[in-house]
Amino acid sequence: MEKITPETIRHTAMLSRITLSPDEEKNMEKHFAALLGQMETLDSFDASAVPATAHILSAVNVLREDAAGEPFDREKLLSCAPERDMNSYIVPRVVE
Amino acid sequence: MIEKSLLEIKRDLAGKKVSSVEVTNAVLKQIEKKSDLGAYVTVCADEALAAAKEADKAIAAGEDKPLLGVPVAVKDNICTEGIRTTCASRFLENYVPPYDAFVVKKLKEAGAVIVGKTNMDEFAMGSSSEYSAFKTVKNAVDDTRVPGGSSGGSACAVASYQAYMALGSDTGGSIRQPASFNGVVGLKPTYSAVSRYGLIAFASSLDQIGPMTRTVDDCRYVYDVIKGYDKNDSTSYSGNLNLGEKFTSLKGRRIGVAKEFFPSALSPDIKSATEKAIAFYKDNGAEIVEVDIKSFDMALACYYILSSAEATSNLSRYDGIKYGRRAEGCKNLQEIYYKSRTEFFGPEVKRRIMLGNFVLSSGYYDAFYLKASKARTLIKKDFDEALAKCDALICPTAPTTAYKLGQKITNPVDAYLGDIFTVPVNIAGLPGLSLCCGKDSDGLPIGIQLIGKAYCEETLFSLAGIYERAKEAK
Repeated sequence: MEKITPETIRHTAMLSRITLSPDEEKNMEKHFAALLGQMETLDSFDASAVPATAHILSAVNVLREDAAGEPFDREKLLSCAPERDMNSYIVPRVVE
Repeated sequence: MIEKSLLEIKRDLAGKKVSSVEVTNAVLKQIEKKSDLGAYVTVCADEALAAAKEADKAIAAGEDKPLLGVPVAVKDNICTEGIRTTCASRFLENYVPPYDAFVVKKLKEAGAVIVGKTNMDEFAMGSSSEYSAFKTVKNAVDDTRVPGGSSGGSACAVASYQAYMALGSDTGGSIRQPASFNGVVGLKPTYSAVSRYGLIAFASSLDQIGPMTRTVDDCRYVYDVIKGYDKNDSTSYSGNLNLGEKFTSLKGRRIGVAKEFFPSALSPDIKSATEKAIAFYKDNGAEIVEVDIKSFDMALACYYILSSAEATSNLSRYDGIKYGRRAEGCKNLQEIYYKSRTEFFGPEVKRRIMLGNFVLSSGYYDAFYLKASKARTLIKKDFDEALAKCDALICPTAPTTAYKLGQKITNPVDAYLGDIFTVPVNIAGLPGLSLCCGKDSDGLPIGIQLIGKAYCEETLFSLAGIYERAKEAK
């Protein structure tokens, strides 16, 4: 199994958009190492000839009728926003 | 009155022996009395009493609905319009959903009175309900112990008479394991039998909503109310959900037992209670069939890879923009993401998101995610082959009974091992039912799990019902 390094943890934290303190990084490294030890059980089988299962259902391409429906109420949706102005979500400027 | 089963109180309500307002008040009083157990995140007394009054009017007018006037609870990761739904997370602390989940709609249409939202592990990630961002839930039988999780609040509420039924959700055992720890009945239905619309997603290919009750008959009754096709869930099954058989005799029934169900780490009390339950079925006419689940040992690793990978994708929506909380003082978009997620996600959620991103990331995908997806194929195949030889499988629900609060919080991987009997069932998409089969030397409930073929919940209810009735008769 892979050796977990502080760089791996930092890279994964970046992918997760989470900031870890130095202590948290160390704990996460230990946690990953313990978990990956458990995952060695997966090494016990030869996966080359086995197809992958992403979903247990046989259903594919479940599409609804192409018919107009009742949309969600805009006001109700916007009422959940942490910051809004009239009919818009407010975010910091993203285009200079 | 509060100690009656759901079906008993339903009969009393329909027969006008008691009003819904009286029953609801009694349950609300019990919730207040037992508040130290931490079973609820939100109690909606006003809304419940208003619904109870409406139910009483309907009963007086001669209406009859399956749950008319019955106080029930809903896990706090299931959306309830107008009632905050927090997932026991700081991120969603103030989130009031603009819609009802499919199952909540079904409960309301059936006339149920929702008394509150039950506590849980944050985003349903955990097996002890200690990862709630608000308060720890305690076991209903022994308040120095965990109630299990993640539906610990639902199990505790039902076991301590704070509701006649509670909905839970189960991604890797989150209904069955807490049911087992609190001595109640819990059903994880076949994947796709109950709509996930309005269930806040953890791992979408594994999540299912199910009922937690004090009796098997109550469980069957509520399952009939909440199951069914829903166009809003593209994984909802539109075929026949009733492939199981209803029976009252065990003659001619076959029950499968695998040697993998008895690992060396199994507590002796649980081993003995499970063997006694198997002996009960044998003594009463069922044939015990030996089966193999050779891939059983791979299930835990497979589960933690797949569920974390799916979780990382599902939880990427918590960006501090559309709903949920936003960290203060952010100067740009990246800061909103980083600060909000760092500040408002708890430790276990961060661990799972991190693990998910790791197993999906470049260079690791084939070794982890892809391999786990292939292991899933083998696990499903093994269960299908085993179930082709019998009506249902039987095994312990969990390898231990309820452990002490705080005992496993410093070692999450140790806590993950508690899921060995439940996660394979989610991986294979099958129905699993946990019911109490005895007590250990500390007087704590022990659960056994019955696992059935897809859409054969009725077979599980029949098998569990026969056992429960015989136990009551003793």
